[in-house]
Amino acid sequence: MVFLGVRFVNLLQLAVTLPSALGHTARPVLFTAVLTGFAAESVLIAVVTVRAGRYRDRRWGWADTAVAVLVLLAQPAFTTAEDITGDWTAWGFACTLSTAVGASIVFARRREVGFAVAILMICYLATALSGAQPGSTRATVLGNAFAYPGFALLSRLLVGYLRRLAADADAARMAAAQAAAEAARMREVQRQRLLLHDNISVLHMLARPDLPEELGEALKAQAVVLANRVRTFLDDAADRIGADATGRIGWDGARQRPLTAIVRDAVAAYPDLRVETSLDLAAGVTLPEPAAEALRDAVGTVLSNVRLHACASRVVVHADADPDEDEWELTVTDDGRGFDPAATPYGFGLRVQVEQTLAAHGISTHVHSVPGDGTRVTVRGCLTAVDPASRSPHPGDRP
Amino acid sequence: MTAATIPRGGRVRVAGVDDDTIIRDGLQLLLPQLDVVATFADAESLLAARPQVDVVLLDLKLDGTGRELSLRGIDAVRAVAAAGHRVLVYTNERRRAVLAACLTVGALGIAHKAEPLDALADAVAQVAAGHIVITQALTGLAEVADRRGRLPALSPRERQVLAGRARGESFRSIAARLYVSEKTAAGYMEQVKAKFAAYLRDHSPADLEYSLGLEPADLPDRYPHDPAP
Repeated sequence: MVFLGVRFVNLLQLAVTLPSALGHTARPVLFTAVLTGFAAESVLIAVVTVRAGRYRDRRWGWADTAVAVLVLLAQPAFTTAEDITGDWTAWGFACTLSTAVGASIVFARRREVGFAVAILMICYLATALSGAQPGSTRATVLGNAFAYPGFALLSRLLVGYLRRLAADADAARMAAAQAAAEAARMREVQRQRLLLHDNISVLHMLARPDLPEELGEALKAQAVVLANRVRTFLDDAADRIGADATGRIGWDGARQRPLTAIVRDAVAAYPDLRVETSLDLAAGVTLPEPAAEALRDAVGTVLSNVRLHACASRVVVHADADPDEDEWELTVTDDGRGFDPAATPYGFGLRVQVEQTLAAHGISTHVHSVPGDGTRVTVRGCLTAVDPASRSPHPGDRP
Repeated sequence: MTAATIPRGGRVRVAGVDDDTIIRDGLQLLLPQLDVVATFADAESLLAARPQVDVVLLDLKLDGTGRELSLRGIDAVRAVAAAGHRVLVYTNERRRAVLAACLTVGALGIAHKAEPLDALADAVAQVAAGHIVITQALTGLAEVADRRGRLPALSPRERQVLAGRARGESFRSIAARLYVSEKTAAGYMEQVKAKFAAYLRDHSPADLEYSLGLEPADLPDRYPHDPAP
């Protein structure tokens, strides 16, 4: 980009002085033809460089050098002796300085840079000195010639510094990512240690050949609890990836929490239950913080009821969202013994902690249960009560 | 299954592949209603022995033997299914993309080791009869696939049954709600599972990732359509 910037400035300067230069030139047609060719080649290199995102192809470096040489060699044919210095009619010198800048960037080897710069100097000196008048003009030409190595050296130093800076930034970024990954790994190891610690003693006890009979049933029950805990840990490991559990600030200024994170929070407190979660269809649905907390507590109450009363072998927590109905839905279904809602009044948990509390946040509750066929608690809320930007990102949902 | 046929009214013959000695030795005791005719510590041994069985119960993680195995995970499922066996994957694996990949490469069913034993025996019988058996998590995934327009061939009834099953509803409850018999409701679900399995077999992992929202980290180490190493 340094090279393209210098070249662009050169051409911009030339464009401003073009009417005057065309008035002074000895051969306007040749002047225009050479300038057009140089500008076209500059545009071509600019396109290639922008597309590649960098100027590192040596072949373009040599092509630019060759074009610059042609410009310098053609320059005496359209320039008068009076205009060799100090006039944009002899634009070859100013514009080919950017070629020296480009050479210092595109060539990795110093000797290639030196060779390109030397060619440019020789061509400039050969054509400019031969037509220059003795005296100050010649001295000016000699002085100008040193601009080629000067510009090349400065840009080489500048670009080298920028590249080292970028490499250092990359290395720092990588080190930070590695440190974060290592910290996450250590946290995971710690979680695993905590999880497996209790299992060791139970397994040891179960493996004892002289295990007292009275301990057998208790140990088996403990083993089931620990197995379910390990299973929940494995599920959590998958869920933790990509989960947005932290929430964000919604359109109305209230903190919004994803419905999926609310449910996972609630389920995590019941590792002994075999809870299957299916939450994909509600991805993107968020609730404002007061309602989110009420919903988490309500799901916890329902799961607590399952633990205490249902004797269930499986619990499914399912979330859904229906933009057509402007509604989200959460169901907690167990395959336990169920009850007859007509004959059994709801307990304090279902009546107050679930129904009444959620109703205060505009969330309805419906309980369906059949003796011997489990219980299903369905809660529904309005999508428009939440951030419109949080709707499902899948336009294919709900065909 | 080397052209084995299911004995009508007879007991289902099963071969087990598991690196866990307790599982191998205990399989017959745990599943007395089945004929466990052979067990193997790895898939290569099963393929070499070519047992005449109705179902192969195959674990995904087979690295506990300490030997270098060329077949494990979805490679083992693919090889055993390609040999003509009806494969029921019996695993602790919970990642949905890995379980879906097992169906992609030819497994007929998935059963978790945490499931009650009668559920495992039922799954074996289902697979022996050629039915698809999927976990609750994959039932949820089938609903996501349908909702995102990936299972367009579902009828309204199939869609209603799938929605109920994805929410954990029993066939008894679904049947009462839809005024059909339990057997009819189960039949609709069979058709859904067959269509979902066909969808998994025909689509690339990238498509599953995009359309089903499976996170990249959810994907198995190697895509099921990739050539085996």
